[in-house]
Amino acid sequence: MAPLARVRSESLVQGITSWAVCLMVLAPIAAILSRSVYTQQFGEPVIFTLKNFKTVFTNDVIRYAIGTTLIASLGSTIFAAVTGVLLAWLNTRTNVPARPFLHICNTIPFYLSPFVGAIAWTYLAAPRAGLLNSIAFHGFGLGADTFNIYGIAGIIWVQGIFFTPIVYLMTSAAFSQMDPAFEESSRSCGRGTAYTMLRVTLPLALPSILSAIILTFVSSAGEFGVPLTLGVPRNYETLSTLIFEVIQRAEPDYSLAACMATILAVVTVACVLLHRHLILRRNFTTVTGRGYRPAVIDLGRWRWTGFGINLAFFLVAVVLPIIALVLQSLQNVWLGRFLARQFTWTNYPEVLHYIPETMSGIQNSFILALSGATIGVILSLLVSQAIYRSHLPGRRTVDLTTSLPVGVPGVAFAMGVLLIAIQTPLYGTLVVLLIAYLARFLPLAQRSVGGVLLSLSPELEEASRACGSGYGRTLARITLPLIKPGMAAAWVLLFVIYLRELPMSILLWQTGSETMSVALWELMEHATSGKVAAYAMMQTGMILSVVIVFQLFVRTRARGVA
Amino acid sequence: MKAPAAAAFLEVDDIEKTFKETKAVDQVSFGLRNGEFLTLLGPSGCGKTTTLRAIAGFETIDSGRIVIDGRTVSDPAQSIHTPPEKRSFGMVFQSYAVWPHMTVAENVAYGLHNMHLSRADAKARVQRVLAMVGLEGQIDRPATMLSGGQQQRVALARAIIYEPKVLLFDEPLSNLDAKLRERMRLELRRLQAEVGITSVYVTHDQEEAMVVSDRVIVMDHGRIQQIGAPQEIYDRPMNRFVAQFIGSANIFPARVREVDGARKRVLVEAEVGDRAVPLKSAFYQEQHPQAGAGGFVCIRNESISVLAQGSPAEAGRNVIAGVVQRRINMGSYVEYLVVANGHEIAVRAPRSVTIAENNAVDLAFAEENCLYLAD
Repeated sequence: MAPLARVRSESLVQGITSWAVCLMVLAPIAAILSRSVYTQQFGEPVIFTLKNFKTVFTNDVIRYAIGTTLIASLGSTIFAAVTGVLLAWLNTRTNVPARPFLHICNTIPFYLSPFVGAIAWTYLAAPRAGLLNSIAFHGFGLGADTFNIYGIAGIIWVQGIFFTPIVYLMTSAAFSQMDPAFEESSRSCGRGTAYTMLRVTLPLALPSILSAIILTFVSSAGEFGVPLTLGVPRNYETLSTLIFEVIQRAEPDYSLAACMATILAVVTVACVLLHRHLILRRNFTTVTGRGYRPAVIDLGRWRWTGFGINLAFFLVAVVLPIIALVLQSLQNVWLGRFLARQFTWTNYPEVLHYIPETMSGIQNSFILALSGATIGVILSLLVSQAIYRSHLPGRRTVDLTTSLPVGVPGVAFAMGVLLIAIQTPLYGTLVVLLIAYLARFLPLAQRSVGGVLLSLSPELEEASRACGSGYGRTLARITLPLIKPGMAAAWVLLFVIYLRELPMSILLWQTGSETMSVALWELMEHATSGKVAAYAMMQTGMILSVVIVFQLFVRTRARGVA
Repeated sequence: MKAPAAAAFLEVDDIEKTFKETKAVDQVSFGLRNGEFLTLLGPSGCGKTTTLRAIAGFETIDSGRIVIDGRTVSDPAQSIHTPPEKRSFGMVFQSYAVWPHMTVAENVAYGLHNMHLSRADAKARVQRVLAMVGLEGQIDRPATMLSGGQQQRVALARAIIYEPKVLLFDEPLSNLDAKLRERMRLELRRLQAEVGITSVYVTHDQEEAMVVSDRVIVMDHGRIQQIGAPQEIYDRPMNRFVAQFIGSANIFPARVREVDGARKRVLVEAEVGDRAVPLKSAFYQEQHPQAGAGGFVCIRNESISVLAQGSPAEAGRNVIAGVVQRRINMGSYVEYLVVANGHEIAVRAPRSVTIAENNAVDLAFAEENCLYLAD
């Protein structure tokens, strides 16, 4: 151990931040784990018990929810894997027309709220009332319940759409960063395009695809807004929605909820560890970090088919839901289709004052998103520096710990935060939400900021030290300017996620700390679909404008440099 | 092995550094006089870069001491570890580390902040240094638009502009193509002589080390194998590692038969293939072999002459008979692979030697060129 005299202030800041962040991550997890094995009635002693685990595996409702969670997660993972890999292949390896345009189309659902997506799909495909059903009925003479978005199939459909961009982004990266020499060697051995694709390209990209699939499975298993909207009204509970309900009861059973959260988290955290293993291994093999221009396959006449497939995805994932929301929001009463006599603008202004939560929800969400994104990016920079640039003892542990929350479903993590917060005066304040947001989504910012820092040669910073500049000047003049794009991307991602966050907010809010998604959920209970749609459109509009402004900014910057 | 510590400008005193279980740097000591150019040479993983980074302060050391111009900058025993920015050195990195978000001038002027120059003085100095490295015309270009060789020059200008006490080079030429590398070597040396800054240079390229250095340190497994002037190291390697790492040499196990202490000569019995061949050998004065001691003899490829069999032997020469296995044309010279007693001996001969394959030959070499090595 170095004597204290040699510890420099920046190492101290990085070290304290790292361990504080670890505490933020581990304390809620520890709270769930410990709460799952004891019960406590108010004013009575703590009793250690395993009966909750017994309940979980014997109670029919819970067993049914476990089954639903598994089927829905597997289904949406397969859906997202197939479409994601197909779209990634089309966009990186074929001559499909307008690839840059399609790429943007494919990433947009990544930013949108799955909760709002599920709401929009009820407007499209609810039996009788859904727009698509009404088209099927009036236009094609089919039944008015041709489509039914409620139930497991609907959950799989909406989650599949919303998780496709995860697979798409990770697989595209693997496909486009692969050394073309691998494929060229196969071609030079006399193998054709298809054979090379199957025997060389896919296997080499397999670790990336697998890890994307694992991440999708983890996200699906923990997804809350979609099953809440599409499953619960038809009595299809998942573990997430069941945890929520057990806590929402007049007499909440925290121990049972903690037990379900533990089971959910154990599976998903195991998946995240597997994912880490795959990612770490991949980094040393095919992806060298050099920029390659991968070989493009000429699809011939089929290139427009590929274009069509990709456009169809965009239509289903973004265009149709937004059309449904807009139409719905402009109607006084929804009668299954858009009617001129029902047209109204008033849903938009009225919804802001319909219930108190709508206005303060917007306010709170912006406060949380602005402060959370800013603090989150700074935290991830300090933690990344501790992990990749310092000699902090235990920095591998910090790395591992900060990657864990991705695997802990929002509802489960919030449950842990709740168990701790309820014993403090902070309970029900925005601060609790902020801490929960920061801890839970740290890995996303961490991956982005840490990734850029890792790709930055340490020699660039060392050269500055050699020139007689200390930590501060090096950070300001060298490190920050060079990792600015990664920091900005992380900031926007966090901002958008915080703006739309549902599962943790819905468990942790109290009057005064409601967020936009909480207000949306309240509206669903109390207001007409027109007002719900209007509010959902507002949230979607805010998210899209932030993303579009950022994209334009990046584009003009890129052009300015070149 | 300790270098004389007397009034060294840069002194590295018995430093050690362990990574996990492996000793990266093991009892390394050397000193540089002011203005000297010293090269740390060795294969990858030999500890040369760690030693350099310890001087820079990018690595802490476990024990030992580093002193720059009378000021101790690393001494774990006294809890001294001066941060890099306070050590006053300039460094040229393998990747150049030219900052891509700055122009050439901004890169070069970056280190001037501690000198408190006026804007005009700073600009004049940037121009002067850029002229020294031959980049006068590139002053306002973005650094990313430069070629590898030009980036190298920017990195060099950036390192010398604030007149540091020590210049450190971490394999600065290894990313350049061969032609440019040969030119830059000479230029580096010229520039260093011009500014007169004490320099430590790390490379795995022995030719580069020969060209640029006043003195060379050969390292392996974290330890210094030999310190000396380039020619001295080439002519008188201290052990098999140095002999084989620098240049190319044939090495045979040998046993000392007689020692002629006055002339510093030994008579050895060398195992050439399956036969013991008596050889007259010069030995390195720091090794004092006893009769009967084991060891090796080392003969440089170019010290051996290929002669037609039965050519008259000159006095003081060793001769081994063999058969030409292959004759390889290397352009400026010819490489012969000659088999003697089932053992292959490599010989570098001038192009004028035209003995064809499968001919019986005599391999002849002077006893001064047959070195006895204890290990």
